[in-house]
Order: sequence, then C-alpha cells, then structure tokens
Amino acid sequence: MKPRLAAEKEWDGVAYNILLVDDSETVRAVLMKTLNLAQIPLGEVFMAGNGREALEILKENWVDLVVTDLNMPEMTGFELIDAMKNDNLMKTIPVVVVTTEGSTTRIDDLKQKGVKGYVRKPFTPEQIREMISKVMEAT
Amino acid sequence: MEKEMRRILDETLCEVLEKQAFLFAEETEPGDVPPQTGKMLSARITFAGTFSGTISLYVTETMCCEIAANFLGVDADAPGIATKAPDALKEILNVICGNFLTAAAGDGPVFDLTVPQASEHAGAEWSRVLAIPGIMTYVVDEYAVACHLEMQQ
Repeated sequence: MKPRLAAEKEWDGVAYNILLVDDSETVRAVLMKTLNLAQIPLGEVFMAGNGREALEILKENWVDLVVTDLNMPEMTGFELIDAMKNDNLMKTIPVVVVTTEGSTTRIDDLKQKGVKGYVRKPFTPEQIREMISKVMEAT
Repeated sequence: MEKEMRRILDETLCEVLEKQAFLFAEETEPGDVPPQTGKMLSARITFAGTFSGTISLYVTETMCCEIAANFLGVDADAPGIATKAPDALKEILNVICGNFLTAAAGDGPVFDLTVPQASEHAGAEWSRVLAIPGIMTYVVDEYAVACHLEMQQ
C-alpha cells in the first residue's frame, strides 16, 4: 500500500513517520483520523494490511513507530514483532499493539519482546493519542 | 454453561455496539423482530482455547452501513460506505469475540482466533437465521441484529 501524507500541520520540530498495520481498512481509517486529530507531529503515515506488507514497507522506508494489530491474515502481528526483533535495524523501532487480545499471558509475552505500548479494542481516540505520545516521548 | 456464555456474550455485544458504533441494541425475542428488507450481511469468527466455538453475527445491509459510518465518524449515506460495511462488521465481531473471551474466561487463558469472514445473503435468509436454536436477537432502530454462539463440545 502506498504511503499517505499526514495532516498538514505546522510543526517546528521532528515529524514522526508512523506505520499502521491492521487487516481492517475501517480500523486503519479510524487510526489515521485519530492521528490527524491528535497533537502528534506527523511526517508520513504508511499503511499495511498484514505483517508481510508491513515488513516490505519497513525495508524501504524510515519509520519511527509501528502501530499494529495482532490477529491478521498471511502474517500476524506476533510474527511481525518477531521478525522486527530479529532485524538489526527494525528492532529499535518502537511498537504499539492495538488489539482485542485480553490475555495477560500474551500481553506479558509481547512486553518481553519489547513492545512499548498496548491499547485494547474498542479504543477511544484519547487512548491512542495518549499511548503514542507516551511512547514517542520516551524514545 | 452455554446459557451463561450467551448471557456474557449478550452483555459484551451490547457494550461493544455502544462503545464502538454508538448504537443501542434492545434485546428482543426472535418472533418479535420486525420484518427486514434488503440484503443481509453476516460475519463469523472461530475461537479455540480453554473452550472453543464460533460466533456469527447477522445484520441488514442498512444496519451494517450505519455501523461502518458510526465507526468512521461519517454519514451513513456517505459515498462508498456500502463497500466498507462488511469490513466494519468483521471488525465489530472481532472486538466482540475478544472481549467476550476475556469476560467469560478471565484474562489468564490464551485463545486463538481466526480472521473473521463476511458473507452476503438475500433478505429472505432472515427467516432461517431467526429459527436457529439459541439465536440472540436485538432491534436497533427497527433493524435486526442477530448473534449466534456455537460452543464445541
């Protein structure tokens, strides 16, 4: 999928390139809308429908943050996170997971793998904004 | 056990529809569902873990467009909304399933979920759906919403 230009915001600092990974076009659109409404300085927002598409984008583009679902066809979010962890360049990119997953076992496992944030669906735009701001401020 | 599972699913479905699509579902008996016109859309997801089963969700196409529109924050007659409706239905079901499993089993157990699949049906299919034993039925602004939980033994 082609990158989309983010909101036309005035910003005098760093603008973040963000990759949104979800098999639902609806969720990607809602996340995009949330990013545009939030006070997050955006560069480019890339979109992928599964982990495989996400890896292709990551190989060819500078991305500052990955926001990913877990349950996706072809390549899941778990597999994407594992692949990123095993890549010298990608392993430093912070990952926020947005998912219906509620198992603490799995969430702890994701934290062990270096996932920086977790937002459970259904989410509010405020939850997404707060989590992304928190993760980006920490990096 | 299945009755208790249906009660939990009922609560979860109403909560997710309210939070995610700003729709208030009123539970009703299958026989009291008003006649539905137009196409019917369905979505189905299977889960496996401490217990396993399948959840199916049925709505009219008009209702599905409303779900998609509310999800996206646009008007229900916005251009292209009908093409987004099946995707929105799958996502709603995905969220319902994930939240149902945590409500039913707690946050310890791990479940594997399939990717939801959506299908389109003729409106006449409603009579078959409403006759499914254990079907849970709701009315949202005169539109029917039906949900079925099938537990594997």
